[in-house]
Order: sequence, then C-alpha cells, then structure tokens
Amino acid sequence: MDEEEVIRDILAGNVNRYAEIVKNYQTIVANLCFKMGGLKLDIEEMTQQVFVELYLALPRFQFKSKLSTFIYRITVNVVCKELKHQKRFITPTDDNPMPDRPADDLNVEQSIIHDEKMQQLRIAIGHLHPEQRTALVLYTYSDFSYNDIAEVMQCTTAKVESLIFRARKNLKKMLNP
Amino acid sequence: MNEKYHIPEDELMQQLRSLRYTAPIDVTDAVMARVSKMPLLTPYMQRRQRMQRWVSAVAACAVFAVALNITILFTRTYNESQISDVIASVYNYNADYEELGSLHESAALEYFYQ
Repeated sequence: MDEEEVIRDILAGNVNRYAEIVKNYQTIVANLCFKMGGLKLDIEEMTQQVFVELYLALPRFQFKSKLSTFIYRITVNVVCKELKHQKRFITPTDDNPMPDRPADDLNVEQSIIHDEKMQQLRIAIGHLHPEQRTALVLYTYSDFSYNDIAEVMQCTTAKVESLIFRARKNLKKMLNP
Repeated sequence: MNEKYHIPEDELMQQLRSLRYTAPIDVTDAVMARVSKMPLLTPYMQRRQRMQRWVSAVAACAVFAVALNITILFTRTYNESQISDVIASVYNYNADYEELGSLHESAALEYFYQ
C-alpha cells in the first residue's frame, strides 16, 4: 500500500480508502493503548477514538515524517488526554485481557505467576509520570530509535534518554520495593 | 547516546517488550461509520474556523470590558452617600405617598409637590 497515495485519495474525497489505513494500523494502535493505559482504558474504544482523531488530523499531515510516526503521536496524545480525564484507577475488566504467555509449554502454576507479574507491571506503568511512561513504552518497540521517540514526543533526544532512564528506575522501585 | 543513560536488556525490559494486547481487534466498520459523517477540513478551513473562534472570544471580552467600564464609571460618578441618598429619597417618596392613601390621588400629588 502506497500510504502517500492513499492519503491524497482520502483528502480528495475518497473516504472509503481510510479503511485501508485503519486495517493496517489498528493492531499497533491497540497495542500502544494497552501498554500506555495501565488498566484504565477500554482498548477498543480508545483505538476507535485514535482513528477518528487521525482522520480529523489527516489534512495537517505534511508527508515529511512517516505516517506511523504521525499515528504514534496522535495515539500518545489521545491516551494521555483520556488518562488525564479519568485520573483514577479502575479494577481490571474483561476489556483488559491478560497479555500473551511467552510459551505454550508453561504449566498452569507458571502461567498464573506470569499473568500476575504482567498485571503488576501494567499497574506500575500506570503509576509512572505520563512523559516517562510514553518514552519507556515507545522504547520497547524494537523498530523505534531515540530520534523516532523524540519526534513522536516532540522533544530532544537527550530528554528522551533521561526519561527512559528515570522511568525504568521508578518502575524497578515500584516492582521491587 | 549518553553512557550515563545506558539501558541494559534485563528481565524488566523483556517483560515490557512481551506485554501486548492479545484480544482480536477490528474497529474498521465502527471507525468508518463514525468518520463518514464527519467533514474533512482542509488546513485553510481549519484556520478559518480557528479565526472565527478567536473573533468570538475577542468580541465576548470586549462586551465584558464595556460592562465593567460602565460599572466602574457609575460607582466613581456617584459615591456611596449619593447612592444611599437616592435610595432614601425613593423610600421617603413611597412612605409619604402611602400616608396620603385616603386622599384623592390628584390632591395627594399636589400635597406632595408642595
């Protein structure tokens, strides 16, 4: 899919082609919402919201950066805005399923321990400062460089480095008090 | 990269990387249903919309400033004792008028304006 061509088509009035962008990026967006939101967000609703905001912001896209970077930036903004709006923790629900188990050969006991660890990790991520959380979560994507993170967060690379460092330190403190 | 901020690939980082949303997700139809009703504003239209919001905000501020100015002018022109005099005279007028309630209205008014 040539993204630039698709966007130009959408801007010219062919709105149906927007479905291609949604299909291509929905898993990535849902994952980012899941990682950033702690236990607080309804992931499906947030993913929808991100794509609605992206659609409205599309005329501002100037084709200078990658579309993925633009989508990440909008996702981060939407999630941060929603978290600020909620400002509270809710208990985990069915909308927030447990993450993947690393291997199928884990026995039941190991699976439960793993799930609990992941749940604690998500709660701890939810307690981080929004900037630290964003930087650390983006860093966990292997294809994301410091420059990409800085572009998404619209700050310097040095700040990104320090944010990730502090986020990791705080996370460790929370998980091993 | 600054060595001070070196991030080792330890268990925590591996856990963070393995954290992912596992439920199947397909929001395409829902999103398309929502966006198909929305107008796609070009940068020019967005600028115009922003400008309109600014103009209304400035107009609201101007109205507020004028109202405030009138209030300040009024309180400066008439000091507190003058204002209470005006109130007192209105009150006395009513009291006098009530006392003459039994008289004919025109006579009462004549009496009052004497």
